[in-house]
Amino acid sequence: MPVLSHVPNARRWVPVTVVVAALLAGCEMPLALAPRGPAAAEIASIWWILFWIAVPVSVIVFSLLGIAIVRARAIAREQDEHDEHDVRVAERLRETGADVGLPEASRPARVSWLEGRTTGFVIIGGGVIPTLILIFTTVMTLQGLAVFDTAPEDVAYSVTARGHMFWWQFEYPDHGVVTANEMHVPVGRSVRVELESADVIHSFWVPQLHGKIEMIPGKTNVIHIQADEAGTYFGKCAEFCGQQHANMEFLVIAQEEAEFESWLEAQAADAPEPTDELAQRGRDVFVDSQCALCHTIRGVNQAAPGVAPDLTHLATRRTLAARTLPNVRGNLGGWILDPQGIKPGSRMPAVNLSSDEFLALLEYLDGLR
Amino acid sequence: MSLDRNGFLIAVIVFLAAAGLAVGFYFVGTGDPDPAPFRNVPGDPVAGRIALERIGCGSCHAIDGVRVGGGRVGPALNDLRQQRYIAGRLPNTPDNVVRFILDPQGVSPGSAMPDLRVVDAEARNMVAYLYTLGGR
Ligand code: HEC
Ligand code: HEC
Ligand SMILES: [Cu+2]
Repeated sequence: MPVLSHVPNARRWVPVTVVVAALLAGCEMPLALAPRGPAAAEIASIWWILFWIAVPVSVIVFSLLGIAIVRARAIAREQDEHDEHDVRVAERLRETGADVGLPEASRPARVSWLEGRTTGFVIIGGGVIPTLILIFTTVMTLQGLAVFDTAPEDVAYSVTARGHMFWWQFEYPDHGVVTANEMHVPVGRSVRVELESADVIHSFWVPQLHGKIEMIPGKTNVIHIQADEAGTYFGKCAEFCGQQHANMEFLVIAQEEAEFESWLEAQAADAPEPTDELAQRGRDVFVDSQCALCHTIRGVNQAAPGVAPDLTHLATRRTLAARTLPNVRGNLGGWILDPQGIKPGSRMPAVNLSSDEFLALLEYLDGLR
Repeated sequence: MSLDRNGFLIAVIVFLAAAGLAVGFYFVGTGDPDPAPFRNVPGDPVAGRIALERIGCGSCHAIDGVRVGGGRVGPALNDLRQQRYIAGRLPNTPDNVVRFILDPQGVSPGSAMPDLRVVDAEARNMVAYLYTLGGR
């Protein structure tokens, strides 16, 4: 007898399953399972092993559960029929005058293959096998994660990544480069990243390159990342850190080494001198306004360190305010005038500027290549 | 195959819910307008909406269907068609709005609306989109 015929209304679930499956088919593979570097590949392979252990375990457990439900119902139904039959026989006998009481409910004898073996089944299925699986997965995971703690031999570059409420600073100390929300790395080379926090706990996560690693105030965590393919990788804060946690993202841009070197060189330079008059006025506005208390533009001013993103080469960056906006002229203008409208709770206040001052400032900042 | 009635009902409900979500996301997500009633405004409103988003007009103006930005610096542009004047300077015609977008300082000296280096065709598309918004 096919199992499905035991399940009442089995057919009802067929169309539901089809629709749900069709909806799920629209989902994409999560980034962490599309690794582009050795650390992320290690995590993905652990994930897949766990997945392929979980599949047979789930199938077996849910099948047993299903069988238990189906059989219990069948047994109950058989018993009812049996009891009714007994009662009918007894009634008929009494009609003929025989002196019989109504029968006790009698249980049909059903012997299952488990009879007498239940204790062993529970100990092995519920104790021994899970313990073995857990020991295996623990050892496998620890071994895999140990890869993170061993520094590769040929570390090419070193970056200090500092989490701030709600943006990221990337510093290349050997090259005199400070930038924000965009980290560049050479393809195929191992880069040492020191993770720090300026305020609360953040977590540095680039799913295609590495697992989540906390950024803890007063402590430096070190990881090594390597991107095997050129490209732009998405990163985000993975530890709730306040009102704008959701808008605390960044990009990792992996370039061929020569290209990366020239990026470093360009970023290490002071800000370009503005050429036209409006932009020159914009620089003066910047220096005389509150902007200069928080933001540094190398070659122009030195603000208190670590308060706000370095703007020296702002116009080379792809996004503004930790990937809240694409870095285009209109958005830059909107951000300068109304950061709290765009990213409520961010640590940049709205500054009152006359429209002349604003237009000059926009011209200047938009030219900081 | 005989479908029992409940199963059929559940399937229909799940399907309708999914279809409703998809349609809802489509409209909320893109806000593509029906350009038909405004053929007199030259320009492609769909391309216009994309340009408004790409250039970042949404971080200063609230514009229905334009997703990027906070939109509190300048006036909301959701009922532009009904205004008599543009930027308080020019009578409201599609050509004048285009003129203002191309050269805000020239039309309205001292305005905080920056010249965003929009090109003519793009500005026309933007105006075509803006004119689809608001009351009829
Ligand atoms: C009190 C300190 C402070 C002042 C004053 C300030 N800012 Fe900021 N600014 C910040 C902080 C903090 C951020 C990061 C915001 C975020 O992403 O959450 C920021 C971000 C920015 C960004 C985006 C940088 C990037 O790479 O994403 C720009 C551009 C900017 N500010 C320009 C200005 C200008 C122009 C002024 C003056 C009108 C100014 N700021 C005044 C603190 C300040
Ligand atoms: C930096 C902020 C800012 C950005 C970016 C910006 N605007 Fe404006 N805009 C303003 C301000 C402020 C005004 C009001 C000043 C005025 O009318 O002169 C304005 C006015 C306008 C008006 C006239 C509205 C009216 O009610 O009269 C239009 C139309 C307009 N903008 C379109 C655009 C378009 C299209 C873009 C993108 C290409 C854009 N704006 C980008 C700040 C901005
Ligand atoms: Cu966070």
